[in-house]
Amino acid sequence: MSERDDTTAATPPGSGDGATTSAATATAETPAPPAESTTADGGAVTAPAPSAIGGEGGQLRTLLSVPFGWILDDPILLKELRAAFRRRRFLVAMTSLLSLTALVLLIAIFMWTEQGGSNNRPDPTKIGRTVFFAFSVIQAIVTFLVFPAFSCMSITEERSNKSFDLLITTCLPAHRIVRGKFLASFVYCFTFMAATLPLVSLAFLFGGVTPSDIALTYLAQGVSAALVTAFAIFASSACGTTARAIVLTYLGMWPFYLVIFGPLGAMIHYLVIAPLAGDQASVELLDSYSTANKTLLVVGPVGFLVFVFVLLFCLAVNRLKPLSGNKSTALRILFVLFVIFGLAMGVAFAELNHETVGIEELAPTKPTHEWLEKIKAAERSRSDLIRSLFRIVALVLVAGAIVFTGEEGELPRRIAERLGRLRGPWRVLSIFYPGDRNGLRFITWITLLVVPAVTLYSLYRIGLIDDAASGWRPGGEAVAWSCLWLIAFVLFVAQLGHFLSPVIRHGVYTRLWIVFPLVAATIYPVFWFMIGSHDVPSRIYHAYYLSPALVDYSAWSEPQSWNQRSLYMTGPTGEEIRIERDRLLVPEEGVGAPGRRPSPTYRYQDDPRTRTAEARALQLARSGVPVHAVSTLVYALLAIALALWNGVIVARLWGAPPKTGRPRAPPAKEKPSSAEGAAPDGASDAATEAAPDAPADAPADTKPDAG
Amino acid sequence: MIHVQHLTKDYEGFIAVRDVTFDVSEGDIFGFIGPNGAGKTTTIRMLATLIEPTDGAATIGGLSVIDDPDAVRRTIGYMPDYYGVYDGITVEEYLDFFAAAYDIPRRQRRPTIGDVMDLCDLGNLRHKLVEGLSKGMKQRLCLAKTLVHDPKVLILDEPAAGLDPRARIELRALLKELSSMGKTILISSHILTELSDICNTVGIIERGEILATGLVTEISNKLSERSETRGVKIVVLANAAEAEAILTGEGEVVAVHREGRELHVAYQGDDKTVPRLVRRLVMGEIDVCGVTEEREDLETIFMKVTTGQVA
Repeated sequence: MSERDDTTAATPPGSGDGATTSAATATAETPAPPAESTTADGGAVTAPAPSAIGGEGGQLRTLLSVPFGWILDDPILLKELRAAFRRRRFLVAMTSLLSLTALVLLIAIFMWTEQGGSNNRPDPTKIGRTVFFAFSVIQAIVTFLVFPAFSCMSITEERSNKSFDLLITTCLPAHRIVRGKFLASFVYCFTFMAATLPLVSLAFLFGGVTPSDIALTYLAQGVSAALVTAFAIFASSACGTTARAIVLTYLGMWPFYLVIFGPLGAMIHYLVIAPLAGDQASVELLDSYSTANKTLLVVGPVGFLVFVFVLLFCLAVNRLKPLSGNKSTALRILFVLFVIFGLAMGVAFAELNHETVGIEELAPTKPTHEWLEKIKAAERSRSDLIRSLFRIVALVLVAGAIVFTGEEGELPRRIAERLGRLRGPWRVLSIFYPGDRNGLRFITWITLLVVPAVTLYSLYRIGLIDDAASGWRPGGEAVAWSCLWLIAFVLFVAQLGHFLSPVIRHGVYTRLWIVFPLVAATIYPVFWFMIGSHDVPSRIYHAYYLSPALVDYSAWSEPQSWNQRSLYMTGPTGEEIRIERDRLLVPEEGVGAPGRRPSPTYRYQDDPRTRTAEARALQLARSGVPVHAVSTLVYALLAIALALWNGVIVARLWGAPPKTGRPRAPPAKEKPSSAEGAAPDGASDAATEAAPDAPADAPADTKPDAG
Repeated sequence: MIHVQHLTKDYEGFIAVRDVTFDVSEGDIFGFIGPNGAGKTTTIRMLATLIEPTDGAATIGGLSVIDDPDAVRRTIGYMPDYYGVYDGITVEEYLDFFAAAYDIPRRQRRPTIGDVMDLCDLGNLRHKLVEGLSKGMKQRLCLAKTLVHDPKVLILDEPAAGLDPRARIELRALLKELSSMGKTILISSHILTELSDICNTVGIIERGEILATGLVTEISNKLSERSETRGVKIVVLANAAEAEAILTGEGEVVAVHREGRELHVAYQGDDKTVPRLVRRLVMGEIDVCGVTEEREDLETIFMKVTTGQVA
């Protein structure tokens, strides 16, 4: 009994009423627990902590607990690892994969060493490289194809196991659950990678592979594994069943690979594979970059991948939050950071571009033709970069508009109340709160800040380059139109989302209903553009002005000949321009054979008359209202119309009273007071008891429960 | 301790719980009863902060389940109707996991786990793998997990479902013991015998609406007051058949059912009717040994209050 009293003294401070003490006292008849626990634990209260005396890991644990305490004490991680390492499935899978890897490597070594017979042995370094490549490929296959199967089950298993409710009613917030699941899944992968180190050392023995190559490859594999694991965890959180999670993981992974491993693959190719494989072209290209550019080549992809990782993490966390949880603020902050990072990288690439750096500084006292050509090439290159920057900014802002304005408008009561407490200047923070209206304000402010900033930088850098021969519109004009069009288009998409959200009242479907028209508006005109004639200005029904792709083309490029008239809405046709040009080419009376009209093709190009005619033709070809101007007007008018419809005008951009939760449910028909014993009458039929089955992967809050 | 006011859950037009209001005092065992699909689990899940009510309010220990769900989770111990246990870990590790999940400091976990294992009689199973436990033991384990952070309020959804009679009796004893320790318990079930012994207050819910709440005796009294037909048990020393004949002839008596020396009399009348009936028996030279007003038990109340309609 005294032991029991000692143990209960260690009841957590939050135990409040000390019920556990009573519990222990009340169960005096129950068999005493093994002495090992009570005695040791009883002492733990006054004596040094168990960890310090070696009971739970000793000094090592104490030392490690300082920097890695959050990992060592992560309950999810510990539970997952304990369970996994005791499962036969994990042991069998790991042993099989290692055996397979070893077998393939041994076959590769055997084949290469036997190649050429005993008198003509291949270069050992070549064998080493080949074995290393084979190893890398196997490891990548295992990482990308096998381990996601483990990861994508981690949360769905909780659901199918019916342990999910137990888990989320603990004090563990959603982000700690996802973190634990991610760490556990990553540890499986890491275990395999660590176990293959002795195998890769075989390649090291042959030579041709440096430790830094191995380290870089392992780093890349680790980063890839982390991203794939994050994607699988996201799939696991998004799906209600393991089968769906597996399908989503393996189907969604391929486009995901394209997004992710484009930058990562390029980085690895240039930094690791090309030098190893002796790819001289790549090596030379890399050498041509300055140190700053090389740094950007690493910082850019790594930063991008970090953002992708955090995004997947946030999405997985959001899926585990209840409907009343705030699922928007983290994403919006991430979006802002991503925009800032993207702009910084874009500016850095434009400033440090290897074709432009130092060109101006190397200006000779008397400009030579060669130097002028270099300057022109540099400006074109920078123009390309700025054009790309605009495209990326447009993609990001449109994606943001779709995501944030597609949110459901009805705020959970808790969030609505918090939002309502924002007063004065703090009200501007409402743009980070959930809800389609706040999303609209958020994306509007971001657009109005980002697009002019990019425009000003572009105008400063691109200048007013007027290189008609290049086929590009003068820089200033192109940038100005891009800016205007981008603002109009993003605001239109945002207003469309805000318009649809209260109608559809479902985040995913709302976003799909925004995306479908946009995709249609992009593709349909392109189809016409491909099959239609370029000789005449476009018709209204061609709808070129709706397609962002054609508007981009129209804003940045100019016609180079009289028959490129399709990106104008008004003005002469190509045929009319040709007639006008031919008229100017007609020789004066008396020149040539009498009574015979000479063909314009007989004229030489350096003939002044020809030059005049061609210039006039080009001037006419570039006359009229271009598609991008019409598009800007159309989208601006649509955005204004939708804004008026939505009731969101300038005054409301600052903030409006939050929309509270769903209105109070209609009161039931008068029913007997409690304990009166009368059964409800037929009027309360609406309150049927058997709830309709909600989809298995719906968030907990959306599922009715049969009680 | 638990205050529920006008709680409503609307699933896009389908109202699973409508305007539910009840209170549970500190230390009470509140039986939440109703047929399958009545809205018990939805109400309980709202109290357990798993879903947010569409309307209304609920507080547990003064904390709002809507505004302060994290604090509520520390206050309550929730045991769902269906739950799974984790494979590959032992009983002690299972409880350690939940203790860590409730942020109990590492050095306090072992003694706490020891206590709850003692309380739930799991001490001998400490090193057993969880998946190897019987259903009853898993139920005890889940209850132990529910107690590991020493909550003031226990919310138990059908805790005895699927248990054999012995395990049910043990569970009842355990709940009584927890109640004696000052825990407030909200327990749902549709097996009324399981609740009738341990609950001091009940709430009857059907089709998402609370039909009656309060002490079992209070509800019974109110039902009796409202009903036109009342019951009384009269025990006679002998001549029960003759007594039955006398009573049957009385105009206020609706029906008489004889069981040995006991006569169960259904009558329509007021409080003066019973003395009058007794007087008639005495005048008929029948020796009356005892008279007891017949009250409904929980099952009878439940049957009277609910209609048995399902959606």
